[in-house]
Amino acid sequence: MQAIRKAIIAAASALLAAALAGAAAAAFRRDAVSIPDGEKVYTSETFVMDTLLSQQAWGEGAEALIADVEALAAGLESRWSAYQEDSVPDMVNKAAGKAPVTVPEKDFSIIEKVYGFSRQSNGRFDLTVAPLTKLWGISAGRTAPPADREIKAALELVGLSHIQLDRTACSVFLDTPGAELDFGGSMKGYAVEQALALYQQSGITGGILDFGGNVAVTGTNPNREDGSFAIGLRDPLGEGYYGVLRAADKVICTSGGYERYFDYDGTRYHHILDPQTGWPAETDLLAVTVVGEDGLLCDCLSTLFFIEGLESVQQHLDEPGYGLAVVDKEKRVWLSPSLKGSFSLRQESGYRLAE
Amino acid sequence: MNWKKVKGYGFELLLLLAVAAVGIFWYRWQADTPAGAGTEATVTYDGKAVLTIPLNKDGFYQLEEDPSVQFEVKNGAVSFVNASCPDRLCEREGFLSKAGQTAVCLPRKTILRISGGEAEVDLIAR
Repeated sequence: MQAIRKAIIAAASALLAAALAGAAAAAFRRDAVSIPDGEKVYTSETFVMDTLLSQQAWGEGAEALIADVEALAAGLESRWSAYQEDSVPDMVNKAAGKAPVTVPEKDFSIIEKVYGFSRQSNGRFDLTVAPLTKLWGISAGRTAPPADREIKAALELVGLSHIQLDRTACSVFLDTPGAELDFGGSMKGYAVEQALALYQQSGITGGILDFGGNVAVTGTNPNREDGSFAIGLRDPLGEGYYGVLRAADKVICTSGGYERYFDYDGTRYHHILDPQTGWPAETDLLAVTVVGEDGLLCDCLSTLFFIEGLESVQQHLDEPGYGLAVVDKEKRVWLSPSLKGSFSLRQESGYRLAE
Repeated sequence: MNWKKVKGYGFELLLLLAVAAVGIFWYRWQADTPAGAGTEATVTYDGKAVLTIPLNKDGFYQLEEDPSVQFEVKNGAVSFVNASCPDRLCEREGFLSKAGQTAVCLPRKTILRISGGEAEVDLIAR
């Protein structure tokens, strides 16, 4: 009898101790999150390339690294923004219909790559779409769609047939005045890719890069016990995020029509234009996220898949070079098999995984 | 029922009650804070932290530095309101309540960021 009694007391004491320890551990973890001990975090927020670049980095060299990435972004902006005097697109656009422009080999390769991507997309992604983007001016405050004849006129200036590339001379020529190159659909992904490489080469222990919603993480997160970074994927209909992705050392680019748009006469007009029709892409998708190592490609692909729609997504879920997380208008989430292990759906989000 | 027998286990019963009490307290304490909810929002204007907004009280705020930048707190969430720019991207982020969520006004160089809770996510891809 006495032995049983002792055993019960021991078991109950152990339970009590465990519960108390658990409560204490939970309380401690919450403190640890708000004040990460030891490692100092460096953060920076810069407005560059028409968006917000925000960085967080921990460990040795973090401060200098952040400054290097800011400089990188400023350099890319002055080189690739169509609105910067003497940028590559500015020079090529001003010489449209007049003369080819010679650029450094490194820049030529980037143009060639975006051109090649446009070519493969059969004109659904087009680096000459700028005359349409400007006409629609969705970010500039347009509140009604342009007239049909205006769209037709702009379409005349859009198309790969207007570009002549000469690899030997490293020259670019637009054959019609008014035709324009625009790298807005590819440069943010490229910037993340380049910045991530700097992060990986530095001696930091961990870091977060957010380039206007195109993101990357690397190393160890001092704020989580398992050291991972949790990346929320923005809910395209509501607030917050529909799922969480754990994908370090990858560039993550997203396209959707849920941020830049206007409503007119009961119809929503978003900013992703179909270069074939001249109108906002008629798509059955809400958001497309592309995860991969080639940031430029991921940025272009997210736009292209958004325009092409679900059928194209279904055909490309199993690609070796990138992974997809896509939300369609039925609130289904389509995932590449390669991402299934690193994605978790937020149960209360109202979305469900597609079969 | 033999009360003598029950009495004999008084100490054990007390212990079990204590365990149950701790368990219930712990559960309630966790349930009180929805996962990921933040407690305050910080506003950065042109690179400087200029305003902290508590989320536990409904209210209306505007920046001293630029009164056209305005915020509203409702039911523990905060949003940009009355945006004067054409694209109103900042407003479209909606009411934010989760630690780590941000909304940005590019023309006014203003960032609204939720903090103060245990963040479920470290950043948001969008």
